[in-house]
Amino acid sequence: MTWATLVLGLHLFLAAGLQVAVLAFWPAKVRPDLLLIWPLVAGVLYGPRLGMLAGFGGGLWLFALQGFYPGSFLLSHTTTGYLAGLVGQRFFKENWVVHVLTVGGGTFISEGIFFVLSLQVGLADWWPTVWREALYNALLTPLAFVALRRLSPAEKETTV
Amino acid sequence: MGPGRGRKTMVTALVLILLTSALVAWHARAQQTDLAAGPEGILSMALYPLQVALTSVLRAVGRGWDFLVRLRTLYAENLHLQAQVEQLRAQNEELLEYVYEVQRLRKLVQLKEHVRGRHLTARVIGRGPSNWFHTLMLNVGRREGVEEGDIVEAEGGLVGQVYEVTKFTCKVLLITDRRSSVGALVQPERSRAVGVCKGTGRDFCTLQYLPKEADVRVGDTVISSGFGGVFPKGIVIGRVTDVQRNDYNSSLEAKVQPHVDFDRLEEVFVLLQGEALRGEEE
Repeated sequence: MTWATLVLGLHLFLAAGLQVAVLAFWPAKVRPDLLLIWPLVAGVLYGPRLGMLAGFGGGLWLFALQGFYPGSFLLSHTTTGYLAGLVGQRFFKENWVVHVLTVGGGTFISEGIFFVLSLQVGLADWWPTVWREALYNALLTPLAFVALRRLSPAEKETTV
Repeated sequence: MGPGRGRKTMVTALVLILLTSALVAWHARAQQTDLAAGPEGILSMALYPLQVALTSVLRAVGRGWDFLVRLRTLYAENLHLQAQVEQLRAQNEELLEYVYEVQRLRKLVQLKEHVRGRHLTARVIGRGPSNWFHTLMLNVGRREGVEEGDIVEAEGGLVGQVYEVTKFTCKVLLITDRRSSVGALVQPERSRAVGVCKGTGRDFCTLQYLPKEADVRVGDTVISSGFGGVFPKGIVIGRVTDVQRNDYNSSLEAKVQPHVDFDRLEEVFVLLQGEALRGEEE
């Protein structure tokens, strides 16, 4: 296990605490998902492998705090973390706009996967919820970018 | 990306797939057997201190801000509240008389009194992290006697039901969650129609399976019916805000606005059902 993975784990732990305790006071009905923003930014910065691991960590915390549907949370976040890593290999990852767009688009992909996996339960108001979540996630992305960009320069994978 | 890194990514993906499968199986087994804590319980406990610390700080800041904002209106509010206390005290005296009367009548007809368990005061330390589910986290758990299935009330209304308990915390499924169903009764004497109050995933519930000829009107209070034995009878669920009468439906449906404002909840009461059941057995 590398230093970056450990620090990222700590970041996710804090993000989980903020997600349930601080974002409980979020003024709108729909809240951003810090446990998706962090893995996606990590994925763009440090490649598909770390993106996938961070996505798994984010999904694991979401499942732990929600208490059900482990498979849906884990698969949606892990897959999106991996895809964010692929984006980072093809675009200039030091540009925060790339991160904002990846997180915004990644929210639709992650929630889309979650929707398909949760068809049996049925999710109310998918579209109005997801576009708001994507917007909030994108707005909070610069925070994650600043927090994660200096995680470990040695960990960054070279672009193709 | 070189072939070495590609192989490493592949191996990581395989390990994560295996781990996901193992976690799903562990969770399913913990749900079925109820013997061992699932992985979610262990992780929730690890986060508990951070959650409590963050909530306490935010509450203190919020209260301080609230105090500063309301400082100017406090005197007038105090006078108003004092008058209200006097009025409620008089009402309380009157209601106590009714309580004594009911107790006497119960004795006369030898009706067994419904035992309601001890109420435990709990603090809300978090909301569920996902936008799709309506859940709360409380700062009480197995240590305080909370069990899965216990009922949660606040502000004189129904909040939901405990669905997961760890040593220090528990999670509550709100009545507005899509997976929640409560046996319900339309309170006014003219109606007394029985139905099922189901969560919608939005901020209201729907009262379903009401008889088609039921007299249900906008503004009617809906309470728990006690049918099914899960929720005790008489807890206020909410108020009817819309009634849908369709010719092609065999039953009536009504929209119910919950009595409790879930977004503002800070303290709740957990009704310890286990104790109630033990009390009834005795």
